[in-house]
Amino acid sequence: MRLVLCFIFFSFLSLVNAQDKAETSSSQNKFTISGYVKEASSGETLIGANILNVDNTIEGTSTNAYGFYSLSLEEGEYILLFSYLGFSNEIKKVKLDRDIKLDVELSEGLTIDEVVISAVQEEKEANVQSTKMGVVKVPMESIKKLPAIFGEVDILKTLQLLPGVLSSGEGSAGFYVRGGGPDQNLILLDEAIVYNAGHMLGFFSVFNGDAIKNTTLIKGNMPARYGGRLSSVVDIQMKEGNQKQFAAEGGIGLVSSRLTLQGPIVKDKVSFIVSGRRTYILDLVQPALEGGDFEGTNYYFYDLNAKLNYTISDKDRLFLSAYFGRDILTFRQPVRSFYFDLPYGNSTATLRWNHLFSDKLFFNLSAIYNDYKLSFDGGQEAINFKLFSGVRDYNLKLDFDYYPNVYNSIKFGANYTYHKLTPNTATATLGGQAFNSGFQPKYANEFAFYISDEIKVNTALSIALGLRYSIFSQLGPHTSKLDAQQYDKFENVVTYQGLEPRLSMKYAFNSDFSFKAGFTLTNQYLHLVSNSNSTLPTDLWVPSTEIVKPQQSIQYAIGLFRNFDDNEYETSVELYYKDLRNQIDYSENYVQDLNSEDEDAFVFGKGRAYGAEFFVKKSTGRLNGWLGYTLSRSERSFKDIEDGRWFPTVYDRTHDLSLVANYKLAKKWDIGTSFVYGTGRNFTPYAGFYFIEQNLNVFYGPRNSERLEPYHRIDLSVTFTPKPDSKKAYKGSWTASIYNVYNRKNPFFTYYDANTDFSSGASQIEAYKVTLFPLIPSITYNFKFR
Amino acid sequence: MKAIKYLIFLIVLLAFISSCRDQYFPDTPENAQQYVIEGFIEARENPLPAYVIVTQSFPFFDSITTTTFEDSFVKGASVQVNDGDKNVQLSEVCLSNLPDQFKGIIADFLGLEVDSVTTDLCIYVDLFYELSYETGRSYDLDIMINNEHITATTTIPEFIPLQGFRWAEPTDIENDSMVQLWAEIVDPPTTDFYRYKTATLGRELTPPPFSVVNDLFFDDSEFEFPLDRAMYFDEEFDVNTIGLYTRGDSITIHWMVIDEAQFEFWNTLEFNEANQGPFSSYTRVNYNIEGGIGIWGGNAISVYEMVVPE
Repeated sequence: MRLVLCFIFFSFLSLVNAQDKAETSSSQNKFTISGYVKEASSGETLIGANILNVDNTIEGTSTNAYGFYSLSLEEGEYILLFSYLGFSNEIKKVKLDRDIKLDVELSEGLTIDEVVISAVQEEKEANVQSTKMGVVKVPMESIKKLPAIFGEVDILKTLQLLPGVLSSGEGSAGFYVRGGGPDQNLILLDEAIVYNAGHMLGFFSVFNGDAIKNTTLIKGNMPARYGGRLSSVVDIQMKEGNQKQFAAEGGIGLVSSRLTLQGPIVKDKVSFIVSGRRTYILDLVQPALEGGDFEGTNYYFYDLNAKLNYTISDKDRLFLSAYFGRDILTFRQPVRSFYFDLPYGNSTATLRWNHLFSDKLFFNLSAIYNDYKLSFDGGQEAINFKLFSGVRDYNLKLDFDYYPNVYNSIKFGANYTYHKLTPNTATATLGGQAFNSGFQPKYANEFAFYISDEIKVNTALSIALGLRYSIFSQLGPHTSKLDAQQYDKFENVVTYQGLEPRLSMKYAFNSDFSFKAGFTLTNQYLHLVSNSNSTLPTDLWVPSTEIVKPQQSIQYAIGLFRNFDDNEYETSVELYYKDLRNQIDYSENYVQDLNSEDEDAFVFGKGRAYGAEFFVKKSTGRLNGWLGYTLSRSERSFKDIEDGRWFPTVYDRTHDLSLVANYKLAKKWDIGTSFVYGTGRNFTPYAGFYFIEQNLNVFYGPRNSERLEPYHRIDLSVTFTPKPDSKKAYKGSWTASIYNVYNRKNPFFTYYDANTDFSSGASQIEAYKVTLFPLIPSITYNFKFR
Repeated sequence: MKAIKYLIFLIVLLAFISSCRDQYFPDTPENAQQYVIEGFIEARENPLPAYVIVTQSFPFFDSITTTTFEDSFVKGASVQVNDGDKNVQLSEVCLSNLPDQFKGIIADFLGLEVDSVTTDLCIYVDLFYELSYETGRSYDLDIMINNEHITATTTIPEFIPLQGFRWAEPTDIENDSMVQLWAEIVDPPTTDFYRYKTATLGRELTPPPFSVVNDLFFDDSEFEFPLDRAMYFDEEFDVNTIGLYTRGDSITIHWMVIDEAQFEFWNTLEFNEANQGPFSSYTRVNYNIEGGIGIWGGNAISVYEMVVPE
């Protein structure tokens, strides 16, 4: 470990130093071109757009998360190419004899000329030429063409179709990445952490596709600016709002409808976007419930996204974005007055200020608030029971992007978060008596500092170095469970800290074939431990404390990236090995109990995950899509579970295969399909049964030692756009989907039941599997107005 | 428009309703058979003699018939209990060796109705009350079966009786023949564990699905709580009347104070039984038996017999 740190440190110093020397020798002749790359029709900035010197492709850069780029070149005349996949390219002839500001707008769709074709190739080569591994950018438009259950387009479910990413269950938006647990994914919405990304027990994600601009999944080498989770980052940016004209879009589906409004308040200066979605299926049933046993029972969820974008000047921009979503479950049983209300959901708000200190130094300051809470209020007759739990963060971030020359792209910054985590706090009244579980929230400070540099050594070799230093302190008020010591408000209880080096390199054998390798160490200070086979809204986030140590992961990855047929086909093979430390689980005899805190029932151990991911992708043409296959293993070992025997996790899948295809049948017709196959999920088998007090009870065999049958299914969608070339302001399209085309009975869960014949006294235990979703057709109408 | 709404509703409803269940046959681990111990010793006025039932578990897919059930009872074991003062060898009593008038007593031990006992069941009993049946005393169980050694220890805690009862009308219920029972307890400052059973409708004692509770919520306080009637396994579940007592019924309540190990056993056993479903995991039961599975429990029992008011 020390060797790795030393290597990174000295490499970093020597490379930056070398570049600085080169820079100094000719700095008097260099100038900088910088600006924003935007979508022409809406003024939305484009993230990850490429800017290249056509005559020397090593001289290039890409836009950052705010659409900003900066490129420093020697004095002279250049042909610069601005490209973004799915958009026509822009060629700008630039005479660079001074620093230049140049904002470029790209239009959707491709134009055909020689230079453009080569530019598209450059864009496609990015997978080979970048140092990034395990990074996938998922454009929202391509997600919308894929089949979706109930017609509900879902970003997180699309991510599950990528190699190394597994679904947490039938129809679920929850996911596991490279053998990591569900809490090891950092899900960000405009930089705010989303602690529970699922609606309706995880069947839908909280992300409304109409409000989303860009989604990036990082499952491999996590850049140093990200931290706090071990397995992956899902970085989602909301749209900024159309700067040019007012626009509306939406959809009417079987389960929910959605509407998005956006437009300029001051053209090209101030814009807004507001987007809402709500389900209504049980609202329709209300008349049928009237006068019945469950009158007043209802369930729905909704999301509201809003964003305001203000371009103050060439150097300053301000963004204010917010998300608010709730699941509302109301249960009523008039007879015997049984009732409960279960609302839960996330709220996030992000205020960001972009400032250009110079053409080479981009600065962002973010103030972020996020809150996830769940409450339960129920009772019957004289009994009332209330439960509350939640996570609340106040977060301040400083990020700098520094582009000293074409060879270095340096990012550095700092991050501070104040956490408040409320465990299950129960209060009850029974007749005139009141009870309280008395658990206090836990408080913590989390700091992080990072620096990274992406260095182009030469046309073949690039290296990305990063170092993150994180510090986490549990704060008072707190009473120690170890020695009963009392801690006052803000007093330090326990501190954990660690250096997190990140290293990746690329060596290109030629323009379409490269080798990459990476090393990533990450620490995780907040944990969500689930005692279920999936994640539930009731699962609790807990901080690192005197008892719970931070989780740690060291990931090694290597990969070969090769494009074929003039970059028409991208292929890759990635191998990874993860060493996981301080892994957390519930003890095997855990009983949910509001009298004790969850951490009292935790056991701690280690884990390992390794695998090979194969990926073939075709991005363009009438037929496009991808094929992904993963061969993997994910195991854990806990001293307190079967004496440390290594056992496979519930998200261990030996084989996982996804095939995704879109085909443009005709101008008006698009067809989308996906096929998934996965090894059956592990489960702990019943070993036998016995009688106690005449009741039949089961006992279990070794943990996760058996598997359910394999999971597979095909989905299909057809999109019909009646007037694709219409110049009218209003455009509509119909999407029909079929989920599980051949009606595969994939097991959702299993259980046992005793079958007794009372006349003969004969009894038998039987195991059953329950299938949730058979063939499900759906239809959605989508519209746009601008 | 209304028709479209209904159509939408029907399609989605169809999707949910059409979820189906099928029987399946998972592999089961080999050599998983275990010795199962069910033994109790109690303190109360006129306690039942201490007894131990020794059986063998069944492979998961075995069909239980009267023969296999009978075969599961282990005969010829050496079962001893030490109460701290003396070591007592429990006597093996099999139904086939007993005159008819004693069969009812054995059926009581097993929680069976005497008419339904058609097989030759055997239990180990302190027939001559040689042990001391006292609160605050620990009891060591020692069993030898074919050179296999099984041990366990339990304690009978001190009595903590219920202080009183009251009957209450349930709200919003059309059936006025049912009534709710509330009980009152004064919990001492110690950490205590409780269990209860009810006998209603002229039948045997039976525990409710969640039969145990600890006092963390009401430690060292006076506390009133609803004492629900336990359903019998062959009763039909009715959400409207669950836990309620029938007016005019003669009922018996056994209110037991148990030790922590016995509480952990019932708590994990009942949680595992109830916690089956799409999102649940498994729970291993905390047995207090070394060398087998099951429970050896000491109970301080307060018995209440009453008639539910008309």
